[in-house]
Amino acid sequence: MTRLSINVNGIQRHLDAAPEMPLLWALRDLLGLTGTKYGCGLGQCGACTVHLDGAAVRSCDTPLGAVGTKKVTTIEGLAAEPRWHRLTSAWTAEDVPQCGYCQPGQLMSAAALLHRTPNPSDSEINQGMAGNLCRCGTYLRIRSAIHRAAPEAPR
Amino acid sequence: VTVRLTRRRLIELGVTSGAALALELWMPPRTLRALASVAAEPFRPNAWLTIGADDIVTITVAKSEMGQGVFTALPMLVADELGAVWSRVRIRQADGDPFNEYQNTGGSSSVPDSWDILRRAGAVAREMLRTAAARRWSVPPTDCRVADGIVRHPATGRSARFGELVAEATTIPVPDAAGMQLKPREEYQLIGRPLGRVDTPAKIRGEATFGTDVRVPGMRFAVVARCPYLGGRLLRVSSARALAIAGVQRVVELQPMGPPVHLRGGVAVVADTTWAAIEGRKALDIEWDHGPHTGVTTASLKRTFRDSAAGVGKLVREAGSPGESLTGRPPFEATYEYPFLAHAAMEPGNCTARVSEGSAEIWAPTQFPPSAIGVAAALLRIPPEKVTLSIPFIGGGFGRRINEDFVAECILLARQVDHPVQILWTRDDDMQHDFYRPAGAQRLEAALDDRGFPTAILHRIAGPSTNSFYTPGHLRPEAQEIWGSDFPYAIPNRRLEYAEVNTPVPIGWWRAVSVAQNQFCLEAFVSELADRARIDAIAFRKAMLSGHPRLLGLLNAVSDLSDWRSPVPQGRARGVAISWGDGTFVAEVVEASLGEREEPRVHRVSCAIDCGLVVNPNLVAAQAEGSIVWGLTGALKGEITVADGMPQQRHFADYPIMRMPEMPEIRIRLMESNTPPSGIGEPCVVPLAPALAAAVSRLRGAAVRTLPIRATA
Repeated sequence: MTRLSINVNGIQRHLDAAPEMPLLWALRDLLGLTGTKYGCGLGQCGACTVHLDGAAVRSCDTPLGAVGTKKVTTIEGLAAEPRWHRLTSAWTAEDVPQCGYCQPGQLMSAAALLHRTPNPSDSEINQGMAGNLCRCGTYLRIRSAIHRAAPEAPR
Repeated sequence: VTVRLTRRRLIELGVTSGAALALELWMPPRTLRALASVAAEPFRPNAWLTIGADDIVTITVAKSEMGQGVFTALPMLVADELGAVWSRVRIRQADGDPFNEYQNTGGSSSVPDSWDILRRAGAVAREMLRTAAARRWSVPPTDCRVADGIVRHPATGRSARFGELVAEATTIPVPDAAGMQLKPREEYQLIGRPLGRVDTPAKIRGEATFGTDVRVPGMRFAVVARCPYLGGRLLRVSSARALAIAGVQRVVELQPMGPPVHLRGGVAVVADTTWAAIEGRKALDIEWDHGPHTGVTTASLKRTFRDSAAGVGKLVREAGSPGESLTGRPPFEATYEYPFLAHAAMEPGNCTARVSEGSAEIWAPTQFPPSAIGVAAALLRIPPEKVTLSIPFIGGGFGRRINEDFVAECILLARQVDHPVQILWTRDDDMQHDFYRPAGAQRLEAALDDRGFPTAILHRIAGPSTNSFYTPGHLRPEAQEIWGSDFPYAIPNRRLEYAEVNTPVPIGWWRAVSVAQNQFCLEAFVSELADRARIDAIAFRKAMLSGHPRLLGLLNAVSDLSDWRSPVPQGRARGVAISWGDGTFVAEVVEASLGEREEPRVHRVSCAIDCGLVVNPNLVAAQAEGSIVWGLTGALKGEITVADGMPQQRHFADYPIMRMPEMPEIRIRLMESNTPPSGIGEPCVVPLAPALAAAVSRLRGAAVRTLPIRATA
């Protein structure tokens, strides 16, 4: 066990944990932030996506010790950020979720995509979201929601 | 025991069990108790709703929300009949009731099961509020109108909000639900509107609690090493290295269980975090007995299925004189094959439980609460009433969570641990210890008239029996394997046979169950017959469906929707298929091309649906969209193989799921109907595979008869 400190959703959190523990389990089991989901543990499904300094990463294969001073944003933090209100509103307008389990990861990937590419084309969205699985099949609604959330989309 | 009783009852009742269940439902034990304990406020006329003095209407949903939208569709039925304001409606998930089979969520039955009773539940409350207002104003109740959360007396302009009437309404005798006058369709305020899902905001904010998110004070986390060998068992385990891992607290052996639960047994590692449990499991030194099935392979199973499909089966159903027709000219015949498929829900298996002396609390993402409670009570030897079951949001059900194995396993562990414990199934656990959709082969033979239309069809289904797997010695092994096989086409002579071929591979209920396999074979065959007769595949079907206005309407609709009559773009082909069942009918057209290795690429799916009156078109469209992705994933990619005595797939790299870049355009049309609503969770899955097979057959110039349809090179 090591005394570690990471910044999660703007708050400095102190943890007693092994540095090799994946960030996912620290968030879920130590910090009680269960919005970030376990899907595969292998970086294949995207359910555990969070941001490190605004870039999307898979928290299931990101060791706690590798976070360092980078700012971690989870779905709980994203949902509270005013600048992402447009994205969550678009998700509501398209009524995207079904079971909803993959949706936090989808939103985190979508936010990172819009951060890099403010007005993505269909194919840019496909590429940006290809790592996020949805077994309920909400892909077309996700794509529509991202278009709707893009800054140049009609308000 | 209760467990088997409930499932068998559901199975025997089939998917059109609404009426029978409704009678039981109206007065299940907990409902009676609830009625006996009606408080002065809030107003609780029955188990389904309460109304507070603050006008908030709280509606109980006694089905599991697994993405299909029951939290939205079912309350709409209550609220519309009640005359409630939708924004004032709140949802409460019912706890599991051991005796209430209505809670079983499956078979696309939630809306059809609930259509009558939930509207009656709303009507009872409405009439009590109306009577309360009429008494207050000393006017006849029939002169009062109820709408928008208000009772009005138009003649005098008086009005009262629901919240203002609850105290008096509580004193009104509860009227007979069966005698309620229900609203005519033209007065619906909510039913038929594309309302957004009530669970969307929580699911977007990461606040929705799934089974894996359940947190109980003092709880521990566990993963289980289960015997990977079919029919194998634990020989010995050494836990010393596991216990040396920081955070690991206990290593507990779990006993196997036979049918109907089917638990392979194993070793649980209990820790203070899930990660420590996973690391601890890696450090177990385990020796497994490899079981008797190490020689079983996918190839050997396929051969057996094919041979059995070519042999003689048990006669299930016969009409006309098919034997006579098929013995004349050499019949046209084809054999179709399909693999085992995994559910692979995004939320893997999990369960949380606390076992105390004489009682248990369970948090389980279950589709069948009564069987979950039943198995827990049986294992703990306590009355079912002593088991409390909470049902969190389910991260995808698809039939996997009908089984109670994951609950039984957690109870076996929790009774040996002094703390509440949550078992998480890692992805490889979930993939490897699934109850798969049965694989099999089916042979079809047709005698054809001069124009190429079938005059007789022999249909032989060969594959494992779900009934035999769960109830060895079952007298009707074919019962669950023949669903959807009674085709609507006007073919006078027909014979259905079933050849039972059991395998060591665990099987269960997979979205659309055997309807999907059976209608894949039948519809792929019909398309082959149409091509052989050189008749348009839609026209060919319509010629045999003159007595089925709903299917004819759907074929016309999907023809328009898919541009069926306009030329297909270069390099593409279209295939059509229909689905029939208990109430819901679907027609789909798939437009596809082939890649360099002849792998199918799907460009567009057009889907016309007749599911009776549409309660919420937004939810129906979502189910259709999801079913299309589900059906295509199965048809293009899905295959669980067996070698070395175990299923081979472990994760999303070797059991791939469709991703966004592969998405086709989707066009959906909902037919207008006054028929009571029928199910929508499964039927749209069914036509994808046969429609795709028909399109790819045209592109390749050779009939596609095997799923999945993959690259040939």
